[in-house]
Amino acid sequence: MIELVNITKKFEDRAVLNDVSLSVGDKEIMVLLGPSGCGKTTLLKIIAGLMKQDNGDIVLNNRVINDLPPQKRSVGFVFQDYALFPHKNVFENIAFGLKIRKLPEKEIKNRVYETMNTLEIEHLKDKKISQLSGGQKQRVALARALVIDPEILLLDEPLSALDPVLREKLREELKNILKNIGVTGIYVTHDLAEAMILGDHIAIMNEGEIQQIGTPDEIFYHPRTEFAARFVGVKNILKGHVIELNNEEAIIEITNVSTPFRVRTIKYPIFERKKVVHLCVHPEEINLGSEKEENSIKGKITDIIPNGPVLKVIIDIGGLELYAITTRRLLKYSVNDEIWVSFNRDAFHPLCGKKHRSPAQEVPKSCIRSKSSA
Amino acid sequence: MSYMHYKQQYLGFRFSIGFSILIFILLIISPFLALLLNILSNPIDFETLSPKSVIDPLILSVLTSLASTIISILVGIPLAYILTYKNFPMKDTLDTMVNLPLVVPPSVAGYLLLITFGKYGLLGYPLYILGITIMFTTFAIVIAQTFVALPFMVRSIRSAMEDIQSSLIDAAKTLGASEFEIFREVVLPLSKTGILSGTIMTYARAMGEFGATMMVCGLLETLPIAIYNNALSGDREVANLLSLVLIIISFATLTIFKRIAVRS
Repeated sequence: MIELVNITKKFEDRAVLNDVSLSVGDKEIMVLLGPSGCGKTTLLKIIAGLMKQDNGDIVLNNRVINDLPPQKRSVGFVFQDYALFPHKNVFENIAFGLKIRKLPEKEIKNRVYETMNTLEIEHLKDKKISQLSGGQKQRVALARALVIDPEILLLDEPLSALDPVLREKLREELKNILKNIGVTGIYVTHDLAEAMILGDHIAIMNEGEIQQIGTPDEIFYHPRTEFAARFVGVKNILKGHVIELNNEEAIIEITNVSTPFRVRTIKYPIFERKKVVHLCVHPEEINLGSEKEENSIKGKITDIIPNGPVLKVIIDIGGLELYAITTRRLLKYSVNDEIWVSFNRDAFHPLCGKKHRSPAQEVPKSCIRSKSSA
Repeated sequence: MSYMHYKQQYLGFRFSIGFSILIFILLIISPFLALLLNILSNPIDFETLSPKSVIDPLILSVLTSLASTIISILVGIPLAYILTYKNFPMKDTLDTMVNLPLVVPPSVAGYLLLITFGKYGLLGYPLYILGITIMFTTFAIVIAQTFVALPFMVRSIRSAMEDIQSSLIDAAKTLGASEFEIFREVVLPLSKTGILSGTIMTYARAMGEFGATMMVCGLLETLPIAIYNNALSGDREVANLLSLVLIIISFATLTIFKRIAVRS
């Protein structure tokens, strides 16, 4: 396992990483998800020793590796551009790390073949790098990083150079490969779908800080900060006042919206602490209907935007825009139609506002009540 | 834009292209033509021609250029390496010094070598005491050629090294390679083309070196010096022949250089 403790890095006066702490358990894949420039690649380089942090510790399997050069860190790195040696063929590329370790010819051969076999690239062994397709290069780069049997595998946007169709195919293959090998890894990407598929845990990063760490489901359904919510695709973030609170539910008035809503609060302790809350509603949790129902409000469709397999419907509910997602088959309305927008009481979940904090600073108040206490 | 206007512009364009071709013929092609006519009107009489007057300068030029090229490779690779990959105080100054011989007039270079390696020079005097004379020997010619030609080597290798993606070096590091292993396994093989083209340019420059060599060669004659001496003494036959030899060598060098450039 690997632990990062309060890693800080400045370029000139700009903080690129600000007190980043996270830990990755054995044989787990942690995905660092964030927009470009958020510091995620810098963090990988620091773990690999290609860059030095200003402050903070890197603990790999109970060993502080802050002062070790990259050569001694036992880290496998898959670069964004693959960084395969163009003057060596596939076999020589994969064998590079083992040759440097001066292993006997025979062992090198066995290990390289074994790795090529796992990744199903044995037939490429004599090919030049320039003869490989993008997907093949990615596998060779992965093989080269894995063959040295690293304690941690770092992957820097390994799929971003590929076209979308191939990327979609390869991210599932990559997940299977990583699971089968059982490697501890940190995977950097800006693609939510990639993060959800590949990560056991996801850390959302913005401007050098980790906003939230959680399982893909936690990140997706219970984002804590506005940034995290927007990054996982929650378009609807509503500011509301709690006007009534009982054991299980609250009645909440949304700013600029006349009708109050009923929200199930049992899972969220934040309602006991705060009167003003920000509520997320995932676009797919919004129901569109012709009749008034419980928890519904009148609205008008202002736009319908086709977006691949789904339709994005934009609804005006009196000064506030809502984004809903539906399918072509289910949508019976067109632009300018007056409709009723209704919400399930479980559709709302509050942003609890706190960024991820490093253990040294404070223990965050939990956003979600654990099952036993609920 | 009217048709007339367009036509005028077109004619102007054609005229200016024609004009530059004319200038090129007058300035660059006609000297070569003159040499050819000169050879035809002063046919070389191989009966009377002393082979030594042609062979000796040719051999001296080929060997000294070879020596200065080898020295340039040995000095140029480490120099290009540190200029590309290392940061140290006065790096900018070193960079300027490396390129300085490109802009310093060769006669100045020759003069500097004279006051450095001459009998009473900065390095020449201690060597003289040890019984070693450099000035006016073959060794002086090699030093002059190296001084003038080394920048071509360093620049060529350095631009090849700068083209190596930094992620390749990082990858080698994470795979455990030491700095020397990275140099041997990644940097050097990927600079091969730069070293090769640097070698050819350096050799060509060394073969053609005149100004600096003139100041330090004493009675020795490289090809360019022999051409100068024969032209001054009115020995057209030898000057023609030596010029032709030098032009053929230069032409061949450029052809090989272009081949390498296309292949990479």
